[in-house]
This record gives sequence, C-alpha cells and structure tokens, in this order.
Amino acid sequence: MDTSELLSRTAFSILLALSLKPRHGYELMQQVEHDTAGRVKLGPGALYGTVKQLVDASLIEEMPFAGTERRRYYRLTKKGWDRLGAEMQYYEQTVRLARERQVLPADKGAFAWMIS
Amino acid sequence: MDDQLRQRFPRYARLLRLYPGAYRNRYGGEMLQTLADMLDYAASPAERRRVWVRTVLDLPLAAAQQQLITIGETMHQSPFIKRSALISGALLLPLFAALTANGLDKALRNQTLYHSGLWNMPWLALWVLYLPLLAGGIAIAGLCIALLRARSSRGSALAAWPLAAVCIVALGIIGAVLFHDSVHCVTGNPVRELRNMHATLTCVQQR
Repeated sequence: MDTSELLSRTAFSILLALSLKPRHGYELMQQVEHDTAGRVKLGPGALYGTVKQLVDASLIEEMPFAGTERRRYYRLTKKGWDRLGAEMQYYEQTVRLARERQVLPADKGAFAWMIS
Repeated sequence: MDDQLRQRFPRYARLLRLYPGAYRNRYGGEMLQTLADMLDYAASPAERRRVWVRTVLDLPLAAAQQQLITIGETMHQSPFIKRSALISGALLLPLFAALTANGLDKALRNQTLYHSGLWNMPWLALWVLYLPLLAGGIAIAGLCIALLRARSSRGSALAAWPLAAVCIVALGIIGAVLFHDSVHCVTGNPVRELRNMHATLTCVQQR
C-alpha cells in the first residue's frame, strides 16, 4: 500500500475501528457502520478484501492465540498506528481549513462523522 | 472451511469458488462465519433479506478484484509468462508488418507488393507459416508450464492470458493459411517446395 496516498475510505474506517480494541470480522463491520453513521456498509467480500490489503501492508495483524479458526481477531500494528495518526492529522488539517473557509459548518457537513 | 457453515450456506460456499484458491483458503471460513453472524444478529426477516442482498451484491465485485490482484501478483512472480508472451508475440510481427505494408501500398498507390520478395518464396513461407508455427509452439509450451505452476503454487491460472492470446492468434493464422487456396503449394512438403521455387511460384499463381 502506497504511503504517499490516502487510504481508501473502507481501509481508513477499519483502522479507526481497530484503534479501540482488537476485533473479528463481524465486530469490525459493526464498528465501521457505527463510526461512519451507516455511510460505510461492508459485505464480507469488501471487508476481507480490505483486511487482506491491510495485512499485506503490515498495517494490521492477526492476533495469535485469540479467537478460533473461523473467527480471527485483528489488531493494529505499530506501522498501522503511525499510518492512522498521519491520516487523522491530514483530515484534521483539511477540516480546519474547510472551517476557516466556511465550506464546512461547525456542527454539520460531509466530514462531520470523522470529527465527531 | 468449516463443514457446519458450508452446510448452512451451501450456495454461498459454492460462490466463494469465484475467489482465487489461496484467498479462499485463508479468508473463506471467516467470510462464512461473518455472514452467519450478520444473519444471526439481524433483528427481523426484512433485515436478513437486506444482509443477503448486500452479501450477494458485494461478492462479484470483491471476487473480481481479488482475481485481478492475484493475476497481477502471479505475473509479477512469474516473469517467464511475460517473456514467453513477448518472444512468441514478436515472432508474429513480420506477418502483421507485411500485411500492413501491403495494405498501405494498396491504399496509397493502388498497388500490391505481390511481386516483391515479401510475397514470394522463401520469405513468404517464413513469415506466413514457420514463424507463426514457432510462436504457437512457444506460446502453447509456455501456457502449459504456467498452468502447471499456477496449480502447484495456488496462483491464478488467468495470469497466463497473454500466452493464451498469442496462442489463439498464432493458431488462427496457421488455420487461415492452411485453408487458403494456394497453401498446398508450400505446405505439401515445404523443404522440397522451397528447393523447387519455380514450380511453387507457378502453383501459387495458378491458384
């Protein structure tokens, strides 16, 4: 995964969901839906496609000795935390700039789910 | 994959075969479990229906995406596919170059190159028959090796598509040549016909 490019919305949402605690597939799906106020609804295909991408990029990892063969838990790696931090910084700057230019009202807007 | 879940969702488990083998082995069980969780936690029949719709709509796109990723990875790991496809494809270039030259000559000057060396023996037999035969042979051999490798390493067999494309083009050319009126003049016994150029040319002209 190219570090100079922004993560996809799904990948970003999964990293954000894992920032609270390690989760398995269904929990991840629920948390992503909750965090995005229902804007990102994943099916198993999209979820595990992105999970594979993130695992391949070493941003998340499977937790050893947790869960079962069919319900594996994933957590952020050090690289994943760094990447999430960098993305959040970018969005923070973007939202601040949008507010300054009055593109984004303080209480609502397209990015509101990200900063709430 | 878990047998219990496979029995619970036999159709979805079968549809998971659309994913590449390695991906299916790694994530197939988890995908079935996640679907089971989604359905188990759905509060109403309407919500269960929505879960199914979301899952079924999500599958073809995700499977195609994984196939493309696996094709890319397999091609990256097997430079020999690219190499064999390039070599065999290059062997077909003289034929297309000759056809293009003839076409241009016809379009621009309303003439043909039939009297040039290009359309006469021995060059004619070389680019119209022997080079496509060689290209087809290399492409078929490469295709067989690529398919065997994909099978043993659980890569994607679809990664061998460039070789399959060259195979189809080469076999198409050979087929067209073999069914062409004048073909027996050069293919009956190519070595003999090349030695007896005058008879061969007369035969081609008669046809």
